[in-house]
Amino acid sequence: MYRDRLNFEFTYYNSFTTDALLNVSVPPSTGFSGNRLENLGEISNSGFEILATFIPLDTRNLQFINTLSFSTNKNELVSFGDGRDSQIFGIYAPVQRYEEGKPLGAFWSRRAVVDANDNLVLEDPEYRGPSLPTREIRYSAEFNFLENWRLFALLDYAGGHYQFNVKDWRRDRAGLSWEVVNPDADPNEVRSRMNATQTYYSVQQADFIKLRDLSLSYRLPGRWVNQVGVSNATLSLTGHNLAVLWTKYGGQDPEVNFHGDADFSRVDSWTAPPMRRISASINVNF
Amino acid sequence: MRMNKKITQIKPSKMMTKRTPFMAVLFFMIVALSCDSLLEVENPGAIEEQELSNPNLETLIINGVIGEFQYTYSYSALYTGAFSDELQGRHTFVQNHPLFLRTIDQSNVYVNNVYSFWQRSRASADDAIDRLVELKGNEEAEASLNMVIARAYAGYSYIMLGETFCAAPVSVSRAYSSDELMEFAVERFTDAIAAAGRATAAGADAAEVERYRNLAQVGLARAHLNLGNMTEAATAASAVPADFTFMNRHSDNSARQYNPYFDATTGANNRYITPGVDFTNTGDVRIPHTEERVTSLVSGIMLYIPYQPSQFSGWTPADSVEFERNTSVVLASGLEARYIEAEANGAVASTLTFVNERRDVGGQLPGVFAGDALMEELRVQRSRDFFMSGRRLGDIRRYKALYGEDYFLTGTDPYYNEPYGTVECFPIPQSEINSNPNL
Repeated sequence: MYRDRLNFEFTYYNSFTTDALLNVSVPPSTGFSGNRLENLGEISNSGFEILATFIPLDTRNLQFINTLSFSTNKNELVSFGDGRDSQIFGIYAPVQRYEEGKPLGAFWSRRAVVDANDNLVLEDPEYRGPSLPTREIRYSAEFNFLENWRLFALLDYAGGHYQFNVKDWRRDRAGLSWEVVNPDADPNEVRSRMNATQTYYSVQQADFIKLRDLSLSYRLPGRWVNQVGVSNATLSLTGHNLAVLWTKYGGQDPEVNFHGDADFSRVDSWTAPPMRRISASINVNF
Repeated sequence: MRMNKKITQIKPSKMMTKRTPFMAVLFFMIVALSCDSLLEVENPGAIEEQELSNPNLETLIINGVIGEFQYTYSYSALYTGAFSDELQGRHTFVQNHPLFLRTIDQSNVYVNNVYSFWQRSRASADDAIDRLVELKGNEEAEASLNMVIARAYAGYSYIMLGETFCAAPVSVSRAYSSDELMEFAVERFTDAIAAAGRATAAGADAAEVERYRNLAQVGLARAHLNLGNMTEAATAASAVPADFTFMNRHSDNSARQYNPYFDATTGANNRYITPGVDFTNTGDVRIPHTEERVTSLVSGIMLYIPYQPSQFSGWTPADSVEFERNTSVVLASGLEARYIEAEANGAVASTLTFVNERRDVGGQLPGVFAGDALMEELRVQRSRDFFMSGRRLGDIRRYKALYGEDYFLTGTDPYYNEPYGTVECFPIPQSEINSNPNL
């Protein structure tokens, strides 16, 4: 559209998977223990993806390219296929489940509340939300200016999902977190947070916006490099995983996972976040 | 003509050269698709299923039964002791917290471990019983020492499941109550004792058969006592010689063979268990501990640390001996048989005599007890004689179920400064709930 200044792509998907491989427990009463992958579930995934490119400026000395993508995913375990009950798992607390009608590996949590008799009562587990993002937005801006310069930035947003913040869960319980030692804190909330079995405060929304990439490049003029047999050369300074600009999550980084992704288990337990990386490079073509 | 002929000869050759990689790939794919074994992986260290029916591996199978049991018994003793009033303490690991405070649920890692290990021990022993019949035929198997061993260890595995767990399934069954699990144990021990008689008649090593028969006799008495079958318990116990001792062995050979009390009681910044309040500063030589509180795993928490109590291999009444990795523990004994007889017989003269004998061992003067006070003193003496040896949780559950005597700790735990919960037995873990359709 508008001489290629504005482009749109739209994709809708609705897929249904049978015999999905799910990681389920072996009954220890057989004498064996651990987990095994079984062809069990019927799973649906639906959503859409939009990609838009907009070039508001395109002159000899300045080009400004905007790219925005937005995608959604609704994941659901439709059926186990064999009538089994929910599969509850979690290496620190039973906060995740495979449950029919809910996303795979979704989060549940339990709240401890102080009742009228001043007793701390543990409520039944309640559904919180999925463990994987249900919506993602990526926005990149590219400036090409003064013929040889390029500035590029990439912002990432992911949201709609939850993370189990084990570090804060344990700091609460040990009486170390600010939420517990704050003299103005609600004493009932402090009692609740320090309860060993509650997970309500630690299963947290994990929405975030990150400055994923920022780079500045300069392409050396041809007249300089051609003299030494080089067709072109570019100097770049690049930063990756530069900052969490905004997050609902209480931990260091909402993207970490102590336990790997193989079985949808998501745990933040003093896990090192993705490294911030800053690099300088020279790209030479002959 | 000659030229043309030459070209015709060359052309196919060039075509073949071009097609060779394609043909090779095609050939490889055909071979791969027609050959299932391409993805098979050999593990030279594994004993395959069919090998378990190899008569030459009979000893290995039985040693496997013993190995599973020995490892599990002491692991279970540590964590059930921490759950009962026997041990207190504090640990940095989150999963120890509900164990010490009796607030464990189905998600606790120790509940899962103790359960899985006991189920594996039970299944190994039950499986060995079937395999012995398969290997030797019913008649020979039923008259063999190994059958006595397998049944005795199976019986003890059921006892430990029943004493530890509120209920437990067997091979993906419904959940059996503790009493039903004790009945299974009675069955295994009764069969073991019968097999011992046949094994002796068949010429098996008489001393070894007798050792395992006595192990089964004590087990049978213990299971009957838990069921409240006092006559049967006393009868089974009376058949055990007073000097009988059967050890659960540990060694330095591998981590799996270490006594887990070593790590829990040694190292200035590692030890984390302390004798429960009723087992501290008693002056009783059977339950020694450090003279002063010492540093522990958790900064600022000072604890009395237990030395080897009287049921452990390094214990002497004169010296305090720290736990070693190879410290073994008594699994069954004539002493335990006498305790079972005394509890089953009740507050009679022989029980008072026995209680005063045990007080003497502990460095206490004889007492004059009668009725409930005598039975209470019997329970105190038993708790000291078998301190940390894997019996306490079963004992205090039995005292509450049969006599209404409650020894579970209440109030506030001094090391966590939090109130005790109300859980009195280990629940079935989540891993079984997830996967057993009969629960």
